[in-house]
Amino acid sequence: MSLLAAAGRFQGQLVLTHRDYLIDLVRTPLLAAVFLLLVRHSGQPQLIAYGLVAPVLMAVWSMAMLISGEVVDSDRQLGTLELVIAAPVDFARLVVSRVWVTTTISLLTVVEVFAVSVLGFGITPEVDHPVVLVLGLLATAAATAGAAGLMAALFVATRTARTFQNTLSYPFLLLGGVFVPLDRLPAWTHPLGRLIYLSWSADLLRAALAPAPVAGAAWRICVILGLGLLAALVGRLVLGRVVRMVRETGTVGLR
Amino acid sequence: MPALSGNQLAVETHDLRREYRARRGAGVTALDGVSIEVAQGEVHGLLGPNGAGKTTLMKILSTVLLPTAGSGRVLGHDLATEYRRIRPLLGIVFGGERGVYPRLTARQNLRYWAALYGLSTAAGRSRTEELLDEFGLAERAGDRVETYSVGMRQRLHLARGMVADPRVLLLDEPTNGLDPLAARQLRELIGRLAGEGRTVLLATHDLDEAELLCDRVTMINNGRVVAAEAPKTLARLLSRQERIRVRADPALLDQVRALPEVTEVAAADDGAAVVSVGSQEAVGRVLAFVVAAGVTEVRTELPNLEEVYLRLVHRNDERSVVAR
Repeated sequence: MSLLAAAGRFQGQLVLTHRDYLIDLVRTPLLAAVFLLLVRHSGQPQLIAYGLVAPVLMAVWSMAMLISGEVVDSDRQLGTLELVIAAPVDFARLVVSRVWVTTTISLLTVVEVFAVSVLGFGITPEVDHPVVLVLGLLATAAATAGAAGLMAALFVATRTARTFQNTLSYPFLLLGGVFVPLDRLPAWTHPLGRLIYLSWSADLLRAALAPAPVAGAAWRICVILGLGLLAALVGRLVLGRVVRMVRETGTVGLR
Repeated sequence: MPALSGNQLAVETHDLRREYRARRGAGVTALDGVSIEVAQGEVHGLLGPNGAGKTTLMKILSTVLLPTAGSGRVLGHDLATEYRRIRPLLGIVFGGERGVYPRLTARQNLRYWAALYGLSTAAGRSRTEELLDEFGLAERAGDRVETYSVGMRQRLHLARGMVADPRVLLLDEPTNGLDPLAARQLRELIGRLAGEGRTVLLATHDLDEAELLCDRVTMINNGRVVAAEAPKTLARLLSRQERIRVRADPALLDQVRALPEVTEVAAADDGAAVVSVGSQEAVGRVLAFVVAAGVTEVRTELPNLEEVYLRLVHRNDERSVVAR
């Protein structure tokens, strides 16, 4: 708990001095405007929930990937990565502890997206199931922090975090049903997509904005958290192996 | 700092070897069978030129690098298998600018590192304030580290290394890049930390620094231990190799060359001549001779570290031949 608080506070302090970490707070309203424009021109107002949920999930994912990459890349540049690995702290836990702050910050995009909808398009989103929406967002943020731990393993191993941040995001977002529901994608993508927590999050958040009752909300929230936890556990295992590998190859601190 | 136990060694390595594989061509051997022993409470210097293998050895001891072969222990714990037990016992300071978060303050940096070493929030806060005071950073503790002088940053590095009150402190060229005043201040701090009974392993290429701070020194060159001596022994070795630098006309230099004590007269880059003599006692006699000949531009000098290495390597080679 102490690490979670200390690393979270530290990451918050870093975010305040690196304003570029908050770029998604600038980009998301623009993306929301684009999505809502598309919905308006499609003449299908029932798709508004898609235009509202997609930019939020993109921001949550993007900020988490940015920070998990920075924990590795920036620390490598600063010469602190070797010292962190030489410290008694569990590196995977540290990554998750640092990322959770930014995933929490990224939830501010919900307010931004709603503001764009109201002020830019004159549409007041109707939240028919506010409790499900809030719990779904919190579960998504927690699962994203877990996924970031897994991605950090990749960043440590490859030494090119930024390339992976940029190239991996869209396949995950697409397979995660963020832009369009998973059931609209080819059938062969469904089993893969259901392993990505984002597909459960996207469906649940869209359902929370619709008037129809949300079926199995508790179960779906548990699945989101479970997949996030699984990603965190696999991330811890993989990160342990990767750190062992870079200790063998002598590439821990190489930039 | 936890109490010391028994007469267990603080650091020991046996035939430690580290190779770096190259994608193309031959790999690089950074350490080639290094064995050292450092007692608890000892300040031990690792002396060697750049590329000698000091940093590689430091990285292995700090558990961020695995040896290719050989073994090592820190306070009785195996480096390869018990690294988790070693990490809380170590304080690590790598030299140079890197190693802290420059956009954060010294206080923020130290509190973060305290958490990484398992200190509770309250303990981390109190330890941070102690260290800021002890290392003379309290007044600027709230300023971003990027506004600090190099000397202040290095003191912060040292404070960071001390955050968990370690039993063994690994310092890799901590005074590198510091001006003489800042280097002296840092050496005083290191001396104080060593005085508290902690084991310090100091990698340096500065012989004076090693002599000032260390109880014993291991000299490393090309990944091999060349010698392990007390600094005084090294100093004696140096004084035996004292030379005379003189600016004189060729005729006088011929006379000097003919003196029985003189082993060599070589031309230096600046046009002066460097006179090597057979023994320390002979230096005075040769000096008296050149001064009596009316030469005013004359001084004695010690060989540099690289020359000492060469002599020690040569001495080692001779010993090997005799042993065979």
